Amino acid sequence: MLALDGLHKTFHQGTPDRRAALDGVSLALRPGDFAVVIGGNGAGKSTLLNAIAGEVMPDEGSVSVDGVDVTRKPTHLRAAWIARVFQDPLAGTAGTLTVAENLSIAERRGRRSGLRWGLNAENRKRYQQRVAALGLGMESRLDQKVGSLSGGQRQSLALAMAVLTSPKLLLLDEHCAALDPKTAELVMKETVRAVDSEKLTALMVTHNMQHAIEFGNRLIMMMAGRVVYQAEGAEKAALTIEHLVKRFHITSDRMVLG
Amino acid sequence: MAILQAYTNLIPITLLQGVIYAFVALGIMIPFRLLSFPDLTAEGSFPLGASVTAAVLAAGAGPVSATALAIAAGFVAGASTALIHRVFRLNTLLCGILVVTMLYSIDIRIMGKPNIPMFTYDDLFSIFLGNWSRSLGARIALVSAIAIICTTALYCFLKTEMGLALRAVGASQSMARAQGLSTSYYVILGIGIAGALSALGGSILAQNQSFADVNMGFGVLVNGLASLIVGEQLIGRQTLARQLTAPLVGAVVYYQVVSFALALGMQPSDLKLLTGLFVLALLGLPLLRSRRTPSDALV
Repeated sequence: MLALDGLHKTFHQGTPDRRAALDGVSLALRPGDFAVVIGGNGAGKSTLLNAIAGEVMPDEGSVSVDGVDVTRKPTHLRAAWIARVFQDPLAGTAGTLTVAENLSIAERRGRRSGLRWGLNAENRKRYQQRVAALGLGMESRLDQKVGSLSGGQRQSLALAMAVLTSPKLLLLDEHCAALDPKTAELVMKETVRAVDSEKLTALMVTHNMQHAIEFGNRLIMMMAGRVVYQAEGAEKAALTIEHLVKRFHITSDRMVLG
Repeated sequence: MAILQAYTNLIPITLLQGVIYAFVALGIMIPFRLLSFPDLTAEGSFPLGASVTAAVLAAGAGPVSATALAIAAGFVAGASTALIHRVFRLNTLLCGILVVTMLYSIDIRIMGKPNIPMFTYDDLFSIFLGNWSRSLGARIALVSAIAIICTTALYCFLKTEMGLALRAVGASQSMARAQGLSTSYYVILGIGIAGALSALGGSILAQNQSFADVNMGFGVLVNGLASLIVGEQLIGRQTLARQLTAPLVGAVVYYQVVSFALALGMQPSDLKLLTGLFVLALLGLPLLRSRRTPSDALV
């Protein structure tokens, strides 16, 4: 579903600040894979996600989604395949638009916008049910500006928007990191439910070890722009936090000493 | 009493002036409020609209086609500012200054000279109002009707799929890109529409005073901003309908206030200074209040 082949990306090329954010990353996700990416600061997780989304153009290598090479396509032309939930709830939703208007835009992700009404009785009804299913008391707020929602409500909406039209690939960019623990659990639960029920292929970047252990069928650990450890299936299921922390410490010690 | 008399006598004229400048206020609202793209192209698209109208009328065409071409020219002017910004990533205000400066030469090229008297040509007023075309009341009614049609059309557009997309681009570019919206496309479209509205204002003003001049844009941006702010204070901006009504109401009220101040004896030449201070106070004071430490103010 997602194939990365030898991705390289160096920032500040030719200056003393030169930093290799991606140093030859190859990765293949099968349809239905839920991969969790972990790694320390500067490991290249964000750059990897941005390279897949189209925000960062790799210096070398290719990105293809569902068999289509999208390496040279900008973000908005990849949106037909890829949906993304940002860490910042403000980044993934439009605050000056209403809840229903945001959902209308999300429903047409990657499709042409025309001069038809953005909202009508039929799609409003659908959005109403969608929002009600989130269980955050937002069903009565369909016509309220998203800017008036709480951060947690906004992030739940961002997630609902991302999975509204079953994307080929769902990118989750530490999407629970900016939320309070209770809301984070709620959004994570909703994420798993959506991924399972729609059989989505997902790639989640997280700092949360518990999430990395608990969720997904694959785990990918990055360090200094490379994938240094991968686990899946039974191996992934057998991982414990202690095991992971140990590995994390080794890798970060190595980073410091190396 | 004499002051009040002087003011009330001028109400019809200032009312017409206010409705004409409402187009500029509406045009300024789009970049500042819908697109988060601070833009001053209005200062150039306004006289451009007047220049194109005068030149087309002088060439023998009718006022409807002259006005339509003025609108199209304004769209191109606004779109150019947005395009320059998207291509070169220059500051949006600098892009506007470049376009406004270049338009000065272009206006004179279009007209062939710095100004054109239009007394001998038919205009929108003479063809739509006929015998009533000298009546200020009829003129106010006609310009108000055009303003209401434009505002309604803009409101409807902003409720379409494309309109939602345009507003989303203004609200969050990262969200817009992730949803598959080309931010460049919508910024160019939106700033183009803004330029078209300002040019329409310039076109109508030129036809109202039967005179087009390359310098008639001077200060329209700040007046338009002042109108917008006044309107937002009165109408609010909680909903799209309010946000779109605010510039209209604001322009009408603003020009009444100015007229009253002039009746009280304010020097007309002091007007720009006072308007500037007024805009500065309304835009700047809330920002000043929100800063925690004095050192932040310098950044």
